[in-house]
Amino acid sequence: MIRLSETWQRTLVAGPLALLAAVVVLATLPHLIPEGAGRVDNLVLPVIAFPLVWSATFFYACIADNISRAAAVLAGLTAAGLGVIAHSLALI
Amino acid sequence: MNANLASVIAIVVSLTGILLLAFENPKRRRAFGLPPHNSATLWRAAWILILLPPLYLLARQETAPLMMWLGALSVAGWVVAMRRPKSAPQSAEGTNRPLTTMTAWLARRGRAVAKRS
Amino acid sequence: MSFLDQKKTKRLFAIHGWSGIALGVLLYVIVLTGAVAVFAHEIGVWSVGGAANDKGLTQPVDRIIRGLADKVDPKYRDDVGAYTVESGALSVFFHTHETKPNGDIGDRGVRFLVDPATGSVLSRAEGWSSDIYGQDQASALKRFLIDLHVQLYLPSPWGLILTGILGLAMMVAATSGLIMHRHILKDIFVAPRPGNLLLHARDRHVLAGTWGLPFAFLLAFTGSFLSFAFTIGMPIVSMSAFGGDKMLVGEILGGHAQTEDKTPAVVTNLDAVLADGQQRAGSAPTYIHVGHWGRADAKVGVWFEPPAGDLGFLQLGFNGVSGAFEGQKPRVGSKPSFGATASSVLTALHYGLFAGLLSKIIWLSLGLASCYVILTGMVMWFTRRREDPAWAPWTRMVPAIGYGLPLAMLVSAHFYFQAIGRSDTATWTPWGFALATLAVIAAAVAMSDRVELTRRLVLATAISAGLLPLARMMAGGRSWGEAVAIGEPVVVSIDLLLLIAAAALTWHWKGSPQPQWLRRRLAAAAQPEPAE
Repeated sequence: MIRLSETWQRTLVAGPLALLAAVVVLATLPHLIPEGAGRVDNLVLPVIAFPLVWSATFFYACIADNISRAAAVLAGLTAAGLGVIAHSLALI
Repeated sequence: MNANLASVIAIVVSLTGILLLAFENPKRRRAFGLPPHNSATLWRAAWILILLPPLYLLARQETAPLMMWLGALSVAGWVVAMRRPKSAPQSAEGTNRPLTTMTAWLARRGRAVAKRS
Repeated sequence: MSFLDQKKTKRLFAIHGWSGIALGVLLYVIVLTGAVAVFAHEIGVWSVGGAANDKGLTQPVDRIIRGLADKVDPKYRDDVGAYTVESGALSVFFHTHETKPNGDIGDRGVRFLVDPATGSVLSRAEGWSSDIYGQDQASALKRFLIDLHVQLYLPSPWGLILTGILGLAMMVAATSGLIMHRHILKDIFVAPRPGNLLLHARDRHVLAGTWGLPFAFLLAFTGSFLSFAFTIGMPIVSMSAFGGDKMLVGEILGGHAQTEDKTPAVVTNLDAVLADGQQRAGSAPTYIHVGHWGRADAKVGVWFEPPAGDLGFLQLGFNGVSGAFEGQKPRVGSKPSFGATASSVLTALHYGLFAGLLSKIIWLSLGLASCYVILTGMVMWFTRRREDPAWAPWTRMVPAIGYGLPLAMLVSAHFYFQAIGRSDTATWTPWGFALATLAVIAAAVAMSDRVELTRRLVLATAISAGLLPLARMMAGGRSWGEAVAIGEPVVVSIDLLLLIAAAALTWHWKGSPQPQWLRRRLAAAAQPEPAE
């Protein structure tokens, strides 16, 4: 197995993985945020949050001390999000 | 009150505070070889001038003037900070100001000519 | 400020620098065109020589719209939207919502341009709204500048996705700048220190960056939100929540969840609705919309300039048959909600149009200050590497884009005025920009002397700006006397601003240091420096 340098590991986690986690959070939020009085909060608020969520996942991956743990946290977030979506769709 | 007038007044009042803070800022004075000027009263007055307008606007929920206050001060504060203190020694090196560099260059040329003759 | 150890700071420093240098050019294009686009309306008015009639929707329009409704295919009476364009003409678009060949939902119908004073039809176009407005020749310059800002003149959705990514990059640059700078508050009043090229470049960049930070972040965040909203955000959200039903999502966002009633009915008097709305809003109406024209379930929506002290445009709803006031309508959804308010506030904060001239001037300054941060950041990057032969030729990039972009924008305006009145103005305007860009790139490649390149670009920009008012008048635009006679301040103001800019640039060109002298200064300063 090829062992990646720390820079490469970090690039992969802060790049594709942070983006994937942010996109999954974007898709998950409509199932978690109540639709509100105008019936649009669950649609609009995730879209607004997306740039902020991505910034958060990106900087977390950049700053985290332990890159493997950061990878695990972001992968966990992605998995949890997918779980929520699957659960909501199954309920419908 | 007219919302734009309120914004302009708020901006001017806070800008006065920023000018005071810039005037007595220790690092600014040190960097340009000025004697320190520590006045707690001045410092307090400056912060009151800066914070009073936004608090007033916030209390009256004037969101548009508040945002204009923030925007205008972030530009005006920068312009204030960019200017060197008046009595600071002016050096031509490393500046991009045409007039300053030209004057310094002329002064040096003048000295060189004087030395030669 | 910094809570990071040296290793992390170094990592952030690399991210800050590389993202800035890799995307800086495009970021500069977006930020400068965005700053200019704050005055898009004024540029539009100026480019058509001012409006002979600037009463907008405060003059009677009911009879005109009603007369046109009788002339169009009944299926296009599903939706009617009317507003006045820069020349003062009334634009009325009768349309319906259909699925385009590519699967997107679009507006299809007939658009009339009418002289509101006489009611005579100036032009008629039928088709998809994007095509109709895209072929509008008179507004070509304004639309090109907006398009450059919004999507870098690239095809949708790719341009929007790219500008969204650039917004994220700017957020990253601002945030990393904030967390890696150790003395952000201590240095906030320290003017750029002279004596050392690198330290001076760093001081300039850091100082402008520090003061501009809150708004750089805000404008980048809101811009990224606007770019991604309908290209990535909404498709993913609607896919996840509604299985991708675009029609349903469109209806929810439009707040059209009402029972249908197709019984024929006469539309209420729109002039009365506009007058009533104006009284309630306390500001001028900008757009009127009638849904389900000629049916019992018709609705009228009127948009108003943000009332004094407010950020968002105000939308009031009326019954389309009785004309009764039905309440304030949110930007999205059926009722006011947190999501609707948030999206309208963020949009307003990005545009900066909410308080007329004052907010526009402030937002323009914020944009120009951000341009300064981007350019000084590049200067710093190249100053740091000035002894590296691999980087040396790239130092010419800074003046090339710094002056090249405004120059290319001015040249596109020259092309616009040369082509005005023809059917291909909208084609030539971007070509002017592209040709000027190519010329600047060629000059930057050919001229190895950075200072000489800068001087020539300054001169070219000065000439372009100075000749633009003349080019405008020679193309048939109103003279200052005529503009004053119709009470139009915008034409003279923008002409004057261009002449002042030309004079300032000429002064800068004449007074800028002689190449030989600066070369000597740079050589002297190239000795090792202790800073950084």
